[in-house]
Amino acid sequence: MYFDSFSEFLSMGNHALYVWMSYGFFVLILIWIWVDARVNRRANIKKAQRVWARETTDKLSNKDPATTPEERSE
Amino acid sequence: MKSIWRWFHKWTSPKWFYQMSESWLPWLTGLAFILIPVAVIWGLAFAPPDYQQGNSFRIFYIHLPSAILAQSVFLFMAVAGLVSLVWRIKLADIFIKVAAPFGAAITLLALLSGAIWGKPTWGTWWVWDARLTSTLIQFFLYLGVIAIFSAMETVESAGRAASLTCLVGVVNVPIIKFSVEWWNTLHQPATFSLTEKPSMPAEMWLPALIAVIGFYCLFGAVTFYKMQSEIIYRERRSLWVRERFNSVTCQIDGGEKV
Repeated sequence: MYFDSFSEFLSMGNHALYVWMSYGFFVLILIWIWVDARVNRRANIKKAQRVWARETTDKLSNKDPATTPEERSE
Repeated sequence: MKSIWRWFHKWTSPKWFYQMSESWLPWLTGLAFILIPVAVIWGLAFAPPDYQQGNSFRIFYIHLPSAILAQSVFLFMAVAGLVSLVWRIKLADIFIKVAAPFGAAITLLALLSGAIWGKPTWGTWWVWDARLTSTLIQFFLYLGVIAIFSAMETVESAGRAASLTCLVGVVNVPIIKFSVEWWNTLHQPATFSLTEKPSMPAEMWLPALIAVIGFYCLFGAVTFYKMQSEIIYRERRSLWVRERFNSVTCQIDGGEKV
């Protein structure tokens, strides 16, 4: 440990604002990366499941498999 | 040579990629979860301060890895762009799509940490010099690639436009890299090179090296995870995806199960 005490560690030799602000941004960006990855996974599974559900109901009612505009565009 | 091609070809199959990335994911995630905290704690509490800059030097341990990734992630995207344009490989497009937001986030971190470090060191948050300006341009290039994917109607044309953007935009990477040598700049020249011994003691550069490796592992983990998510939707017509993610598997649909 370079610092003698915890309060010295926190004060960072009068550079506390700069050091902790940049590490704060670092943590915020890590959290964003994590949340984005989780939200993205759930959204993709939901989107796929909606397509499957629609195909199944279309088959039940003997309709042609309907395609949504977003699907037609692919 | 033939086996290399076969190996390469396997990686282009979404199903094979999904399974492969699944076995890699826990290792990459685990490494990132160990290496990044070790580097941060080491850099913040145990590494000695710089004799001139004092403790503000500790910003280095997140500034260096984020700046390195800001450049190399775009380099990877350009390689994927070439692969996508030449061989029409879907996975390369998917890589570009998921790597761009990560690149933007990490470039933003490099810019923010650099600006904050600049204040106590240079006395200013920002100067329009070569290194800083070219990095800002890099950030806009990432935003451009993200915008292409959200604006284009079809996945194919978005992939092609993004690939081209990456191939053209990659010219900015060497500009960032050599900006400190080509122009007069406030920014210090490269701290590390592959050919020379570092000019700082090991207890100062070792945590930085660990941070760089940790950041690469994080990039790998996030990229694999988000590529899997894309594959789930794009390969929704494949049986293996459907069997795995369709929670309400309906037997009426049995006609497709051959």
